Amino acid sequence: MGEAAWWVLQRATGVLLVLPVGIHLFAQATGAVDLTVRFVSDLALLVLVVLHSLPGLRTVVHDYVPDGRLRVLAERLLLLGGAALIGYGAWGLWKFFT
Amino acid sequence: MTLRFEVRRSAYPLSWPRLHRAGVWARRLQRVSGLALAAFAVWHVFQVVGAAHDRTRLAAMISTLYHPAFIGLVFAALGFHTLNGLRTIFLDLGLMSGRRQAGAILFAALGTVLLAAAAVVWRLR
Repeated sequence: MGEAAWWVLQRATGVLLVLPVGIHLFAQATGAVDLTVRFVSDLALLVLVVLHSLPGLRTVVHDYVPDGRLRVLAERLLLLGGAALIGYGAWGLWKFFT
Repeated sequence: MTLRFEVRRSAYPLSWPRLHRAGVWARRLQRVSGLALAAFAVWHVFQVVGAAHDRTRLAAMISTLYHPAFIGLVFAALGFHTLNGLRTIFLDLGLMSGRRQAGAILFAALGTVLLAAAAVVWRLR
């Protein structure tokens, strides 16, 4: 994936995050949100948070880890961790709401 | 021949060196708040999954999340990261001049303080 694509991914997910974060906070504060809407919104929140964090953490890795094997390893670990968190979180959300 | 320099007051809220320094600090804070929020997200996912399996852990999770100091910190990080992030997008897309940027940094800082304060007051009232 090129640098431009990482840039677009971070900005696009950042803007999109505003909606599920808003729904999440409103739902927690008032409890006045339909359970299905909460589940879908929280699932979107989880995926978007991971997709927004990945480019950010990748930038941090690029700033502190010199180009080479270690950087590639760190990037792969980030991707693996992100995918695992989405899977684990989605399973947990399903258990939480059902 | 004598050279005369005129020192003029800046018409902008922040003059160039200060604006630059404010920008550097905004960038640092964006990174720190982003890392803190990423750590919070991972922790929160583990807490929710734990609470999904054992409902007695739900109360402990809620009492931590709703602690005034904790919620204040989360809202401060979330507020600044969101407002400053939107400023960065406008800046990157060339939709904001240097003059506007000065106001935007102040707006982000002020908005953060207000959001965090509102969250703390909401919990303490």
